[in-house]
Amino acid sequence: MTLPDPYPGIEKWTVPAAALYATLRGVRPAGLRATESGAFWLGRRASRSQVTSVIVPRGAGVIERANMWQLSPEVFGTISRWALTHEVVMLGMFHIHIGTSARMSRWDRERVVQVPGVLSVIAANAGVEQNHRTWAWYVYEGSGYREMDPVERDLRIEISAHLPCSAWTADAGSIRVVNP
Amino acid sequence: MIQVPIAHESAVATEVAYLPAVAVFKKSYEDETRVSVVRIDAMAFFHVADHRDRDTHEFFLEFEGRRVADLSQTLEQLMGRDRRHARFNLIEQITPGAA
Repeated sequence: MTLPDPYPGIEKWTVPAAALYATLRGVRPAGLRATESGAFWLGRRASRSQVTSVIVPRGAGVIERANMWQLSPEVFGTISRWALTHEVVMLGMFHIHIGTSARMSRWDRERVVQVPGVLSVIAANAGVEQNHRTWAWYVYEGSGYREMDPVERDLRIEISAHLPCSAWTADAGSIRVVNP
Repeated sequence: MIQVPIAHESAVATEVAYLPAVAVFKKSYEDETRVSVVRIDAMAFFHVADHRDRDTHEFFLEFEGRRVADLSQTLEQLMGRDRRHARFNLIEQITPGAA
């Protein structure tokens, strides 16, 4: 019997512009405080994957500091239960750096989900730069995260102006919709 | 009147989900199976493992919103005698090491 592949290959990710907007709006308060913050991108995983929801962890179980964004396992639990009932999976995560570098730190590489095809996107300067081409786009491939060069990024990341995206906040105990 | 004891069905249809994975781990276990066995099987299915770098990475099972702390208990002890389905989430806990 062949077991199903839990991580089918991804050729392309479609990210609604609404997801980028919700992400930046979600991390902005932390950025203004000069602390790191981030968001999870969830959606349908397939050869052409699509982000359909953005979840910004905030509150209990979330640590936002100048050089660290960290979530408790209970926050992951909240998001996991929600994802299961909404039939979506985690496609990637986004977080901001306060400084000018968008490069992954060792913490960024080690203290995150490490399975094939997961995106890790980093915006420098507290996330004030809205142009996604200024962000660093990494994808996990077997042994670690690899940064996409601009050509690959433009080929594999499609920003859709028209697709919808829901926005949520989550903490260790609950998840709540964010009104547009 | 002869009373026929009702056979106790012992199989538990078990599912484990992991946030970034498309597929759910599914397997039928005897209700005397320890939860630790489910955890190990699910981790193998999702290609993850407990490990240490500068931090300690451990995976645990969550059942009905709570971490299963005692992995030596059986599925029956966890769920009760008559439940035949178990749904878990697999979650990673990262304990920071010394900086």
